[in-house]
Amino acid sequence: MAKGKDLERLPRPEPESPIANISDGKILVKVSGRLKYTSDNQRVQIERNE
Amino acid sequence: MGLPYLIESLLSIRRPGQGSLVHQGASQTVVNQMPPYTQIVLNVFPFGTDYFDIVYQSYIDPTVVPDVYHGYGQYFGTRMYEGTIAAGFMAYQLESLVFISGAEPAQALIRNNTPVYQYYAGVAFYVAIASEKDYDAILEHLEASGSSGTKQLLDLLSSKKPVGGGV
Repeated sequence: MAKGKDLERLPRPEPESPIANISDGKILVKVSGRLKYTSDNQRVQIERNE
Repeated sequence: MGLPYLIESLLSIRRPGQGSLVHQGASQTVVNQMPPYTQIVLNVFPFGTDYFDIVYQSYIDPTVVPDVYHGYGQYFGTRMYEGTIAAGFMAYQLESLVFISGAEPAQALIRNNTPVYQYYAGVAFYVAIASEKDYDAILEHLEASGSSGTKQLLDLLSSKKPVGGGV
């Protein structure tokens, strides 16, 4: 069985679907805990909720 | 539910006369209003100065409406699942060993496939290794213990060690 380092990197997904139609501001994502979330989508706002 | 054996093994490793080398945590992600026909991709990194995290269980909150979202989760070399988040999918905790470092974040995608705003919430359980020194101490401990179960864990961790340091 191939180990992870032998496998090819998966392509990064597109941050936003072509069919998306957002006209009313940002999408708020609330996160908690010791994992850090980011997004390539400029419309996504990450808020830490400790 | 009991912890996966490999995670129990990691949590049992301690510094001589001191505390655990590995710490448990849980992380919740909530989108109160996910717009119609929209998808977002989240990159997941260790928080703060953590060197390495391993997500071993996760679940979609049961208050999320089934068949609303398409989603997937992936990390270096592996996409663990992809598809419609249906009731059957949500009925179980997802077992995994997702290795996350600053150099190799995991990625999660959710897409609202309905014409109305929707709610999303999910929880991930993980263990965190604070530093490269701790990581090396764990590898040394596993090498010294030599059981078949820890050999498997050693192989996994050795192959996933971040190149050039963590975050």
